[in-house]
Amino acid sequence: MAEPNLQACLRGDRLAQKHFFECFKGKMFALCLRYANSREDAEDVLQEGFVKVFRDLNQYTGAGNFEGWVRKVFVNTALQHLQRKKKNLITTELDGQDFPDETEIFSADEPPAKNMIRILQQLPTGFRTIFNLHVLEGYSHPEIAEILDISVGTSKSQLLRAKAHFRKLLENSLTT
Amino acid sequence: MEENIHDDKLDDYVRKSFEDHEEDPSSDMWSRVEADLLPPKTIPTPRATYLRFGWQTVAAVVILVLFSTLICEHLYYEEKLRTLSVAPGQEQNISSKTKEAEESKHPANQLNQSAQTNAAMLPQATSGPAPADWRKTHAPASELSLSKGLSISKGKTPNTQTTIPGQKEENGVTSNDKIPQLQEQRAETTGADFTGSIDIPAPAVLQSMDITTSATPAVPKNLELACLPIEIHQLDHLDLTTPARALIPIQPVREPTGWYVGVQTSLLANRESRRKPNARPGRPAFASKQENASITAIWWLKTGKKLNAKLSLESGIGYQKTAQLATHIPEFRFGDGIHQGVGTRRTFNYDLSAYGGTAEVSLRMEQTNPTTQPPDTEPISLKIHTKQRIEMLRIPLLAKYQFGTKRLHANVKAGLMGNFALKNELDISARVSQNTRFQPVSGSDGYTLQLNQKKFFLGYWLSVGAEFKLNQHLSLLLEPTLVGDFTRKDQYSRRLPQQFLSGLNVGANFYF
Repeated sequence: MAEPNLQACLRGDRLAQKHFFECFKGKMFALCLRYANSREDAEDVLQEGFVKVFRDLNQYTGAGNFEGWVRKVFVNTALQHLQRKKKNLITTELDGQDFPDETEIFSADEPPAKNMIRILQQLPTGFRTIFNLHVLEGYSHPEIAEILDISVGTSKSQLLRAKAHFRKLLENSLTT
Repeated sequence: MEENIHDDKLDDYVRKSFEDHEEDPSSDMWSRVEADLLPPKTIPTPRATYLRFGWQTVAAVVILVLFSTLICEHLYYEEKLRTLSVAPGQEQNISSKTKEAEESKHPANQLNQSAQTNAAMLPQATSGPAPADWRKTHAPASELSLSKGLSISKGKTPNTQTTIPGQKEENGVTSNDKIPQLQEQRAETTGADFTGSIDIPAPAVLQSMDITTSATPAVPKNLELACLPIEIHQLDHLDLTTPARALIPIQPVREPTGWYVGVQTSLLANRESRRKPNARPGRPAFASKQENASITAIWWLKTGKKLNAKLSLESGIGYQKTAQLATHIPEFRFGDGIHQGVGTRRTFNYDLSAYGGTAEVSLRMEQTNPTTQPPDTEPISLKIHTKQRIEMLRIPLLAKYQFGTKRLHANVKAGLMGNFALKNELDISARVSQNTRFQPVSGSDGYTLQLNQKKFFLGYWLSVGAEFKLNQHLSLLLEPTLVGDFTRKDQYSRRLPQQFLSGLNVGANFYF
């Protein structure tokens, strides 16, 4: 697919914006699914994320990878969405987690990523967020602490617990 | 997978699994995103920038071509006049141009021929005043002799001394006094009567002449024929077979070039026809309604060329800037809106048909009381005020038929008009909900849409008026005028509203 025309998107050219949407919708929806509790929530995040990207496109200075900039917008949108949905969600959930004992039935034919998304959506929102930010987005603990307004120690400990639970769910899914 | 995957290995495994992984959202996702996007901002696009310079270039080129044509025409006629006039010291055959020349065998023509020679010999012949004072001294005498008419005798010159008619000779006898003597001498020698009478408009001619030297006789202005005094002794050698030639030439009266330029203003009332557009699938359409007839002005720089006494071609360039207020009332059901995923906001998309083109409008509404869920059949309607701002360049090509008296002409003009839209915008200025349970989302009103009418479209001009000539060059005109557009269609092949402009065209023309 041809590169999106950013200048045309900036001008509000609908065709260019649609082309941009087609270029990024798959990757960004996968990202949204990792953060959201459900597919419906992920679609809301995706919709809001694209609107923000088109609105703030003029803030992209050309420094760095453009896709990285777009991902950052979507991550921030996802975090804001989660925070809006449940105020102080992360801090309250981080204090005491109830982990599901059983995982859903996964299909061996599906790509591993699809299974992992389902596993992630079973994780408590706080764990899922820290896992995503650290493992998949590459944020450091101080950065996560700043983003989520928690301490660095909390970020580290919660990540360990999130990984342990993720590993357990993943092993269960593979052995089923 | 191995048991007890190490953390780093898990991280790598997860990253690798998600690398290039894509998921497809629902198929209506783009329409949801599009509904949430604000209309395109009014940003000067490169095309618009190009167009802005483009129309200036077009205007400059048109003006340059018009004035170049006028200047070339002027120079051409100047050159033509110069070639028709005789340069100093040169002769010009006027036999085909004057009545006298047509009667080339008449003795008067011989007289003219003599006059040429005399003009050259004049200073040498005169022994009295300086050449510059010649006319003052001798003109009255020559007027007298010429106006009386000359009786010419062909024969020997009794005296070779050069004289000028009316000039006093040393013995006190004027050259006029010699005429009867010459007639007698001629009758004796030839037996033929060559007496003729010449009517030459000498006085005016001679008085208007400014003869300073014999070699450079001045050319009288705006006269077809000029004569000089005739020496009597030259009349002895008349050659009746040679066509008459004159030293002092004709100066043809300058004919109008037929070109004119004009500065005009059209003050026109603007009436817009309303047409209900067809809806596209899933997208209703509404028509803009003009609030009242507005007055608009078109400023013209025109030029024209007379093809003959009654028919002319006229063209030029005109600039028009209008701002027109209008309203429209879109009506929906609550269920028609696209849910925004945030609160109770819904977006209603529709097409608005306006003179400048079809605008794609997104209307974002929310409930005033979000706790209650309205039924999908709940009507939603708004009264939306718009302001359409259009700048146009108009280039007419008109045929002009005129008739009447020398000073007052009635004229009829008709022709085509090319219209270039330079600016074509629609301001959504105010939105008033007709249902108190809904309101426009705050901050989503007051924006500008770019209308997408074609940049060029054709129209027509009809006018019937009068033109009053103040003098040879300047005239004033007053024309009741009707200007309209031919049928235009938008990008969805739907007919757009038409405008009819009627009013007065006033201005002044300058004829070259």
